[in-house]
Amino acid sequence: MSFLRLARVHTRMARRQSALWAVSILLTLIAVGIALIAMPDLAKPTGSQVDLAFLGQTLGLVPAIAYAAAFTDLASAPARLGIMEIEDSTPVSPVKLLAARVTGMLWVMIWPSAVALVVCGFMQSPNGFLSVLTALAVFAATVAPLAFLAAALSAFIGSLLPQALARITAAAAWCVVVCFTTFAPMPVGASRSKMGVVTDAICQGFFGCQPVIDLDAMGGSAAYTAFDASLLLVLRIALTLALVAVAALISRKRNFQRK
Amino acid sequence: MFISVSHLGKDFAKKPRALDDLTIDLPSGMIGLVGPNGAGKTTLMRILCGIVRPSRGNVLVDGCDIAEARNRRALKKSLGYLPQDIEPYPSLTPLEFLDYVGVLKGMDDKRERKRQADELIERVGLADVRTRRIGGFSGGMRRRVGIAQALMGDPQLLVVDEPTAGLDPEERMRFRTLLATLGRDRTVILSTHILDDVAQTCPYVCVLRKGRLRFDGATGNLVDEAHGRTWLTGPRMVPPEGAIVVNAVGDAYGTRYRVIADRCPEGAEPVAPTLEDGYMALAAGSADG
Repeated sequence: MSFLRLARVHTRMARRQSALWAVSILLTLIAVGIALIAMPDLAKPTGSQVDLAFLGQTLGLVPAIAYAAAFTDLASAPARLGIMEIEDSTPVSPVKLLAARVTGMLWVMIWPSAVALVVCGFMQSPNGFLSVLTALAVFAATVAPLAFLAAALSAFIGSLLPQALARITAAAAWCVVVCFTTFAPMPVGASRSKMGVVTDAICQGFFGCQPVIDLDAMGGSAAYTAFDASLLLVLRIALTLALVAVAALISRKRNFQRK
Repeated sequence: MFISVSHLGKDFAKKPRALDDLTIDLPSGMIGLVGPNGAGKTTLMRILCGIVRPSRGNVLVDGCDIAEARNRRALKKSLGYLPQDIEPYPSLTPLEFLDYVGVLKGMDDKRERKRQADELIERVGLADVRTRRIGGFSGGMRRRVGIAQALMGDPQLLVVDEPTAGLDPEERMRFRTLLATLGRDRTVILSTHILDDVAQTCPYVCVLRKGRLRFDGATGNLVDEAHGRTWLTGPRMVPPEGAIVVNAVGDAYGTRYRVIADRCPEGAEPVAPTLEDGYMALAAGSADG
């Protein structure tokens, strides 16, 4: 429960930075525009879960570049403000605190994506609300984990580099990761899949989508199962948590070496 | 709360022996912690607060070794800490910030957090600005928010580092009174360069220098270090060679120097020593480190 209370405080602080959510609304609209052009049936009763999944992928890709640049001081800001010592003197663990900080701030930025998905899901469902549930599942499986991963990568890079350099590096790192699709060959399940940041594998495995990037041409596997998608989702979450933990520990170490 | 520090040492990469074989038993009540910059005061406080791990030695709080994570967590629940440099989150109001600190300290009851926050805001004189964002506060007002957050959760151990820095004289007096009240039934460790604050509020004082303990005991005993050695020179006299100049006092006749010397300088008169005199006498005696 304390995690939620802590996250709420950081949500409140992020909400008071109007530039944050204004940019996120703008980027969401751009992503929705791209998806509507590529999938004209997205917001019509003739649309399908594949359309919603594609919208989820664009919502995960386009705004995430902004997340990668915006979260570089998440781990280092408390040290800069002197708050870190107070927070470290309390029973809450630094990893839990940073996770609450990331969650609280990120929620302010990704709620427009959730709204966009739910609205499109609603418009696909004149006679039932299965597509709304699908929209929420797409949000949970693609948009949110991708956003968290971008934010965690940003916080990690921000804990290592000066802020101005960190923002550029984090955004560039995210673009490289997205463009090259895989981090490293990672055997996952029977199909020996590779981990894909663009969520191709997860969208294929859960929602039956076609890949945005042709993995066959890059030497990847042809198809991902739901099991592959589940494992990749777990790996992504684990990687996010690991980046958050390392960012928190590096910031603490640097804080007390400086003084 | 009884704190026992045993052979404590701390090395940093860029500063070996920030603390060097420190052994002290700290009683409950108000304890002053003084020393020059780089003496190790802040390092000691961070170790006592469980923020930094010592390189050697141990710290027992009421018999429990805070090296164990469980004991450290228990200590932090009843700890209030005010670091030297603090900037509360600027986009929060004082009430919101205190509520946040209350959550950090494990206070689950929302009403209790609000009650304490309201009471502390009143105590530090910020009632008029309780709903204004901290970003618009002066340095002294932010400091008072810092003092209030240290008191959230009614801590049994209060560690304050330069609490009156940036406060105007009236605020300093108010804070001194507040600390004295708190010291009656808990342990308060006050680190400060303002010896007058220690003299007024702390019956017990520790002096650190170059990571080592130079003095610990009753504040009166530190004053006694300069007993029979404190002199006030006549006007327009230069400080005698070899004497330690504590301060210079200007009056209508010229400048008089308050000095510490084993023998009375010519033309000087003896004066009753203060804590400042005792500290300077001790510092001179241990100058070789």
